Amino acid sequence: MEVDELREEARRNTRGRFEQWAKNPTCEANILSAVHNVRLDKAASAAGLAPGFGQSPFAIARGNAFEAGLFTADAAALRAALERAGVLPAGSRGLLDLRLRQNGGSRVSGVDAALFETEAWLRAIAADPWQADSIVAAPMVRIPKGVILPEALLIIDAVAVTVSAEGVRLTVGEIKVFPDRGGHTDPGQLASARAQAGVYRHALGLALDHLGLTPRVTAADDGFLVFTWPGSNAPSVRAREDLTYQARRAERGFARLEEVAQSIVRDDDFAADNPTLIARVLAAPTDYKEACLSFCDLAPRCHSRAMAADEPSVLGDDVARILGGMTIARALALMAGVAPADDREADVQRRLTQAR
Amino acid sequence: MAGTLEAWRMGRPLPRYDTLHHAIAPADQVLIVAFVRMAGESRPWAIAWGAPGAAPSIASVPDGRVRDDVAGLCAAFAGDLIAHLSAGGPHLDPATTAPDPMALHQVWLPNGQHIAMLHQVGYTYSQTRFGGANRDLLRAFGRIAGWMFRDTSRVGNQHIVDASALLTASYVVPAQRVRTAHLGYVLGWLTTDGDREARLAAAMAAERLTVSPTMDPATEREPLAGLVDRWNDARRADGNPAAAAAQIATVLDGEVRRRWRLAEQAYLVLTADDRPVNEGVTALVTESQREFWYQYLRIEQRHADPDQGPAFIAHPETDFHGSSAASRYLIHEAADEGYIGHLIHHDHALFQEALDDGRAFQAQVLGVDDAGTGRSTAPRWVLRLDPTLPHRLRETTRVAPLGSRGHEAIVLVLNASADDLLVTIEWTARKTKPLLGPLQALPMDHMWLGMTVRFVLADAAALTLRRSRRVWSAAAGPGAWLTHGAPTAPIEITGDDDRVDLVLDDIVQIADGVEV
Repeated sequence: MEVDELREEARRNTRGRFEQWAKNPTCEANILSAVHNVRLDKAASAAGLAPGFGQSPFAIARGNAFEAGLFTADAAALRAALERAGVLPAGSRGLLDLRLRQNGGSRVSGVDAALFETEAWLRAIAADPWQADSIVAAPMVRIPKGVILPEALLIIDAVAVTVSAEGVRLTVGEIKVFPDRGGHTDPGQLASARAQAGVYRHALGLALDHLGLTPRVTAADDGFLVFTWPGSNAPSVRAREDLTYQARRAERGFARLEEVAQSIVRDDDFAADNPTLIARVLAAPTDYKEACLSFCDLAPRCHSRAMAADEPSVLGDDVARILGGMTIARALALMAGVAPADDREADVQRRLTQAR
Repeated sequence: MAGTLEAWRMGRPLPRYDTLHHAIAPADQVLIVAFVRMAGESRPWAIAWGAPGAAPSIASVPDGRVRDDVAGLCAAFAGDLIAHLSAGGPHLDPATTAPDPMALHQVWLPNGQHIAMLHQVGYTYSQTRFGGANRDLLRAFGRIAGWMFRDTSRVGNQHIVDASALLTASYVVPAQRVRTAHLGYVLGWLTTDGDREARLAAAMAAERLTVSPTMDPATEREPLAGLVDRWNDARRADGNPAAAAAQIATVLDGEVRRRWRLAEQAYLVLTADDRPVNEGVTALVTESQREFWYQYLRIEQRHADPDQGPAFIAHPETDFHGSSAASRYLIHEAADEGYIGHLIHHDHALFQEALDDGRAFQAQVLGVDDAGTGRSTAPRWVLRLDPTLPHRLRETTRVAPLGSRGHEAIVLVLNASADDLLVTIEWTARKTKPLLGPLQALPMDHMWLGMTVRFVLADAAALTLRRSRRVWSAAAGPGAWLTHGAPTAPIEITGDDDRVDLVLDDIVQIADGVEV
């Protein structure tokens, strides 16, 4: 029963797991955590570490309120912003709300219903484009491929539907409560929103192909991001975000994750209970990097290990890259003038002494 | 990287460069500011402000989402902030008097996320329709916060100090770069006595406490979420929310005070540093004061007295004005180009870094000649460089002798052989003035023969600055379609009441004197 629940949670959290993996794709512990949906905070607790990452209840409430506000009254606020930004034509109409009830929707009761309704919607707009609603909230699509990541599910925040003589064009949108500060918008937040929209774009393209609806219905290569205007609840839409690269990144990333996972995941993992999987994650080899500090609750453990092993990663990625597998003590000795043992050490010594 | 390893070996942060590259104003001319905000919100929930060495003023509201309460909080702070910065003010008019570097008033904030709060304040209040009796003060708060934020993107700015960035620019900390962005972490290394292990332990302990305006989610979950719910419940039920409000204030006080103390500690560390402030900083301060006058004070005076000229409110994202954008771009470009040029003449370590990087060189003077005709003077030198050392010289490169900024020469000929690199330069600026330094001799003086002289690549900051002024009158120039074109479409701005208005771009504001 517990395994089934885990699987269900894993299916829902595909995007988050994918992004977690992408932050350090060379760490086996991270790969196992992403593949088996073993939360890093739980693993950290099991290792006796205090989890450092989490979400604020205020931020969650604000995000929920913002998203809900966008879709009220026939998505008036979102529609106005999308029309101003040129994502939708003026005078657009129609909202199809596929949000689950637990996420603020009014009709759709569960995952299966959402998948069914999304598929029905795609078939319907292919058959009769001119009746299409212009905004669709939270359609759910399935990434059909995968052994390690079976039936990956993605809920797309919003889709804008435009119809022309060429057919139906679907533009994916990502909604975030981040303040949009023009050119000063946090680059990390912007990048994560674009990456997530790229995953949506990839998944939607797969779904359309799977249903045989292309080219009557196409997923646009661009997307839109919905942020907040600082100091207000008004949406700020960033239109025409080119997602070509991000969608390709998602496609390659899922394939790569699958490939890497197959080499390290054991057959019995999928029947294992959570404590066993946590133990597997904790026992797996790691690859400590600066990026780990931004997402991984196990980073303090890896830092301690790197310190004990005198690894240069404790001084940053730049130092680690130049020193390679060399210890800090050896690098200091080379700086002090000891004779290098080989060409590699001679090169490091030259670089260290030149830069002083 | 060698510096990081050396700092690791020594077990403590090491000074980066021989001088400090930023002005450190006296304590009575410094205001330290720290913010706390509710996660997901862009307005402050609590603010701490005050001079180093004294207890800060601290104000907060029970719920950071209640607009009118937050406006009151901001108004309480705004008056002090404006008074502090403007205290260096009216006598700074460079049209009548030279800007006084000694009058520099600084605002110190813990890190870049606190500086970003200034931008959000600019968005929220620069054109607010709310605030009642405080409306004008809040608008002024939005304008000054907007200016403060914009000025931080100008290289060499001196008014607004990002304490975390200044510390990492001043010290080599033996740690991962990501970690050194945490002000508490860096201060743990800098202010703890003992060996490497002791300092590292202190740094890692400090790192567990957030410095960002957004608090640790754990603190927001417990106790703040429950307290805020209680406060709201009591308010809605016409009960007494005072008890919950007091408890919230206590939590916020501790959070914002800790952030303020870290920024104060950074200030104290830097004032206690033995290194002198680089002499070139004086020029940076003068430039900053000039910017302060033209981009803030003069406009504020016009807001107060329309007879002094048209005033406008800068949009928080851009200026929507091609000429202004081009001019500002060039001013920032000039600041960027000139920054190192001001400092390098007074910092041997900075010069050494440039030498390693090929942006500076030292050479022996082999020949001194005057190529001028008639009464004109055109001193030329033939220099010999070590051809094995890195350099970035090519014909037409402009160079300046180290320690004598203002003198300038241009590379005429490069003559390279296996053993020698001979470079002929001609002096072009201040060529009839003695070079500063031990010889105090004119460029054409034969005393230079055989001497080793150090040079740096000259910057074009002065030229770029002139272009920033000329762009305004370039309506018939080749780039006029860009610098003097009208906006392609009306631009909208969303107010804090979620209403959308058309932006009154700066052209309209200036030309028509529209009240906004």
